[in-house]
Amino acid sequence: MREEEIPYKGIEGIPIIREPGNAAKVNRGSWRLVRPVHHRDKCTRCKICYIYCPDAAINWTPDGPEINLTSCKGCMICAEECPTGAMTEEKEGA
Amino acid sequence: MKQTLVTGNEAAAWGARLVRAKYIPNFPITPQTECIETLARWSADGELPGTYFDRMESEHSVMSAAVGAAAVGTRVFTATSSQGLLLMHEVLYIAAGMRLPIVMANISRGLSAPVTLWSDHNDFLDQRDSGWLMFHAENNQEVLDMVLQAYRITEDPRVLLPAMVNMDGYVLSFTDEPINIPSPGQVEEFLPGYDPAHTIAHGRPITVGPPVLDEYSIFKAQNHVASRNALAVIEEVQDDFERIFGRRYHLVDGFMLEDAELVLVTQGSMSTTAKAAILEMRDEGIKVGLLRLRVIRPWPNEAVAGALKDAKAIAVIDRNVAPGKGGIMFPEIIETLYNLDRRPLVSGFVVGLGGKPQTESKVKEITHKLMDDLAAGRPRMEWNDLEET
Amino acid sequence: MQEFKSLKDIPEQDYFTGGSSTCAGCGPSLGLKLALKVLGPETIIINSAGCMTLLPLYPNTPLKASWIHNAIENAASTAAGARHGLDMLGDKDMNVVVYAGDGATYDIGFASLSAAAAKNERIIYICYNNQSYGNTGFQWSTATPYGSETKTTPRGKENPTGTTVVNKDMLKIMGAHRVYAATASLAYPVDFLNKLGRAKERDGFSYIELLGACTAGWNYDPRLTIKISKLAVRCGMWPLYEIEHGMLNLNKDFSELKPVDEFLNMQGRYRALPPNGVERLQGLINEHWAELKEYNGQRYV
Ligand SMILES: Cc1ncc(C[n+]2csc(CCOP(=O)(O)OP(=O)(O)O)c2C)c(N)n1
Ligand code: SF4
Ligand code: SF4
Ligand code: SF4
Ligand SMILES: [Mg+2]
Repeated sequence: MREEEIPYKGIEGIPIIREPGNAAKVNRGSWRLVRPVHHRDKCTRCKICYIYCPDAAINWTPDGPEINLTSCKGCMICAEECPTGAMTEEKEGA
Repeated sequence: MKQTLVTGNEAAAWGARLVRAKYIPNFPITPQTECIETLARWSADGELPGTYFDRMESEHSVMSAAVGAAAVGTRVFTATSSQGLLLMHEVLYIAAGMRLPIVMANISRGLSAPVTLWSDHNDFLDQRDSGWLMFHAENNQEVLDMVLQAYRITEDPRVLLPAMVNMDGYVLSFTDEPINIPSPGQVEEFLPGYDPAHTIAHGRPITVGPPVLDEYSIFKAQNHVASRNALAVIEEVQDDFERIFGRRYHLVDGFMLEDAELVLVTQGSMSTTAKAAILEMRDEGIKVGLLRLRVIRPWPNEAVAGALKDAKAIAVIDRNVAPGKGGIMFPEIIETLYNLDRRPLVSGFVVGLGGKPQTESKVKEITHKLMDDLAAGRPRMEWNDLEET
Repeated sequence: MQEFKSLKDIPEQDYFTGGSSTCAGCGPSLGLKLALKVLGPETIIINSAGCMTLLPLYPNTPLKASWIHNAIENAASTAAGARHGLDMLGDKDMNVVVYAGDGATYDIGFASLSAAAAKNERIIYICYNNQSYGNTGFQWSTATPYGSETKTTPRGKENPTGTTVVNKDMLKIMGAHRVYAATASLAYPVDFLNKLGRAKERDGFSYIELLGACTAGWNYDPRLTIKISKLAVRCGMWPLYEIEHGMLNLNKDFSELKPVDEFLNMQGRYRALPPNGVERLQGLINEHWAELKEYNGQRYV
């Protein structure tokens, strides 16, 4: 592109991100080798899994944890820390 | 209008005061000290209401703090010199890349080693490619005027880039000159408050300085276009400036160029001496003129080419050097003229490093050497000021 | 702010989303997620170059608060500028919070941190300490513990110990700046967030150092991030304490420390640390613990 043809974009042309939290839509599910599975019957709603998820991939709902598989990277901290075995692990694609 | 005797350092401080800069991070270095000491005194005396004068622990932190304050939409001023400017180098690119209109006075001084306290232009020319707008003043009035104009230009939505106002250490920084200091009301009329749309504000959470992948060159191109936009903005602001303050500036400062066969290209305070020498040479019938570069970035191609195209021979007088190459502005001038139908002969002169005074007789000597070059049809790259003491 | 008593008190609002490029199980990412629960959206996080710089990746960001990444060594100065800028604009309520790595904090950015602390700037400085230059691939910093292998302190015939330098005592250094200084752990989020809550109310500089378990660098299964963080506290590798007005307060006291072995065995970076190295490390831990016990409740710096 010729120099004089480069459009000036104003503040759109500045490297800032003006949509807070828009990474929520980015799919990190493809990183997973294993995925967490929640078992409502065993869950005491202690919030441990929710607190410790590094990717905020567990939403807290009145019914307890809800896993967001778009954000979940499959680290399995939730399953490791769940005191009741209500979070288990499953192989991806199994 | 009333004239006041002030040094270049004080003129820059007056600029910061009159634009109502809200944040002034600083770190001392000769010959800039008097500028920040002046601001410190005013701050202590309550003459800078609404301004925070912040003593930092290094120039790197000065520019970093300037970025932090500018990123939340504050009008920022600072000043530095030489080694201090070099320590900022990393953050200068960041300030430009983030498109933050910070204004900084640089009181030029040669770079170590060996140590010198005196002026040459290597310090700021080393920042030439950082994305900043780079201006260079000839005298103390221009220092003040440039600071005022710099804010108007950098804060323009078509530009949004930081700007450096350069002056020669000692020759201007510590020399009293009579200048007009405008009233706060006049400056407020010229430069209203600053309300940027691209910075962090309450209720406007944004992410500043993220890594990018493919977009890198797109953003660099925007930095470039914004800098080029500044050329028009610089010319545009002159009408308001002249109406309010009665002075007008141009992209380049031409002196006796109309019929000049020989042109000296200069920068900064030595231009005043060179102009005096030119008047004398004119009396001797030598058709010599001068082109002073006052806007270094963005580079005013057309203004420079237009001013030089009719000359027969040009001497580019560089108060700086890129060892292994030569004067820094020498190739920039050659490049600017390269595609003209008829190209003048261009010789380069490296002069005045470490503050060696440039006298009228030295200017005349350069002019005569240029005449020799023209007669011989052979340009030169010459080092002056090498005689040992 | 009301102190949290248990996990259940921790706010359910997040200002941090998924979708970042940090490793699965990344401790420092979790630290920021938790911190933002207390800090809220009217916060500017000032980040130094490091692993966390990759949280946002244009055009996406997991942050629902503001963020400035400037360079590696200047987070504290950038924060000072932002703080004063906001104050001059009349916006006193916005939190200005540094989130910086140990390399940026202990090493290359130490001068700027020290100045901001000495000036008692109204900033919260959180150092997430993964005990290395993590982003560049896990090299040695002055926060790396004795005996840890890193890419620039590999074990070899000449040097089987790996890191032979003993890490800086950063808390003591910061305490000597007459500011609030505290350690924190991901395995004790209530303690961490209460410290942060107190820092937020303070009219001056606070320094909180969070051990940021690093699955990639420390070389462990990502699921163990919390387990390892907890063990670090239990074995005295990462005691929880705070210094305020020069006084020491040990937040988690134990009658007996666990031996360091279990902690070491969980991580690849300590694999093959020879027995005399383990012994020396245990000695260093014991010495530090004894010092904390001795000065607990007393003037420390
Ligand atoms: C001046 C400079 N030198 C080196 C680097 C390269 N660098 C980027 S991140 C990093 C590591 C920083 O370590 P730390 O602060 O502990 O953060 P971590 O990466 O561990 O999260 C380094 C050395 C840089 N960005 N800037
Ligand atoms: S940790 Fe286990 S028991 Fe607790 S809320 Fe999560 S799934 Fe339920
Ligand atoms: S596996 Fe890891 S990322 Fe996925 S929900 Fe559990 S803690 Fe979160
Ligand atoms: S290397 Fe360590 S600190 Fe860095 S992103 Fe991965 S886990 Fe987090
Ligand atoms: Mg680190």
